[in-house]
Amino acid sequence: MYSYRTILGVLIYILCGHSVHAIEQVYLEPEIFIAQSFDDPPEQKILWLTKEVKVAIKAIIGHDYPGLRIRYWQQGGRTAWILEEIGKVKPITTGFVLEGDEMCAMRVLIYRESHGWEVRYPFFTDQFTGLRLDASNRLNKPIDGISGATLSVNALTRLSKLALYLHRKTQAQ
Amino acid sequence: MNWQLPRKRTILAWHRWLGIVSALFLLSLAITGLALNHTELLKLDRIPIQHPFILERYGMADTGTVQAYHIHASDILVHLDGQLFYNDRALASASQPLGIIEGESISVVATATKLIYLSPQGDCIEIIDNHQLPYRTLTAVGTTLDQRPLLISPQGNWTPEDGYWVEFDAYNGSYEVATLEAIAPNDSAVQTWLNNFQGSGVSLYRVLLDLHSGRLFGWGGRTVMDLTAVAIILLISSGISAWLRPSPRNHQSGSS
Repeated sequence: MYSYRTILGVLIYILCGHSVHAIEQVYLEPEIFIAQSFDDPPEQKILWLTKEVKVAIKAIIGHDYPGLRIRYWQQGGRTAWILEEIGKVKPITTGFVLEGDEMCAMRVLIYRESHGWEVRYPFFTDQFTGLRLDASNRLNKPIDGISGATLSVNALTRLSKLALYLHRKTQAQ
Repeated sequence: MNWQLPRKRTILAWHRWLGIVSALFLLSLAITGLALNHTELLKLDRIPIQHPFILERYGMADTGTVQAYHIHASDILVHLDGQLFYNDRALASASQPLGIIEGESISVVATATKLIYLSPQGDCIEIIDNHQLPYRTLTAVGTTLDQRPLLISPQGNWTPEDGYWVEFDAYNGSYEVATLEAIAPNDSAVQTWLNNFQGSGVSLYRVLLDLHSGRLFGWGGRTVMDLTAVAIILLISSGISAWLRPSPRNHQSGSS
């Protein structure tokens, strides 16, 4: 018969053997996302974040976007962006395709949180198609949430506003 | 088939043992649940926890060694437990640097899976991970024969197309590997970096939430909390069963 010490030891091993870190899930490689977003290979460009742009970004997403430049891919009036935003504790890597003044597609590329991965499904991402930003940087339609994934939904909604704003900046240049 | 409840003594024995085994976890569930229900009143999100055990559970313990390198002549790049610092400022989560390539307008810190672009003042310009690079894992940094920076990987060798490091060209020629020399920082500098690394710790709210769900101990903790929930159901069932089952003593006294 196992002694209580053995049982206690096994229990402590099970409890302490794993930390609270989430696993990175790659749903779509960014390079494949870019290749799928354009008919021909796009040109890779960079948008430098000037003081004015940084202020606008902070107003849109509620905090500074890390770095001084953001790269994007362009072919004619169509652009693609790979942006990151933290849902709860880990960044969600998301791809956006934009043309004209509206969003053509949104895809969750890499998800690192332990909860809220439902945001990758088309029933959620399809809502972003046709999304536009008005002059006050507000979306033209609301995004329906998902129970248990509120922080991820909010993060992706913020990112979609940012992508629309950045696209507008590149079209104005 | 005529199904009968077990004897009351048996039910109570099971009830007792189940209660004893699950008591600790039930207590934890009840106390943390009560506290979480009153987070704002108790200001749980404003109470930082810096105990080494808790920090270790969240991957914030100072278990790694500090490695420091000179950058931009007088500045220092520090790597500690998956975190890079520029002097005493947190820069990015990254593995140990394999090379530092200093340029006129952009300097690049190359790790196995990331390129971190820095301004001459040490501000982060951009962080590119291996999902957006032409290789999966960088093994070393070097220079070509005409002194251009070179990224060496099992998937091939690459040089930046220009000083902006936006696109990369494949390189098949000869090259020299540049090794990164670490420096020995003093104790007070190491302590400053450790304090920066751990920040103000983890909030009590976060710890209680993860303790309540069992996530503080990974899948093992979650499983124990699941079993505790099952134990509650069994305790209720066995309690009701014992109450429904008349004791033999009452039965005997009733029949005499």
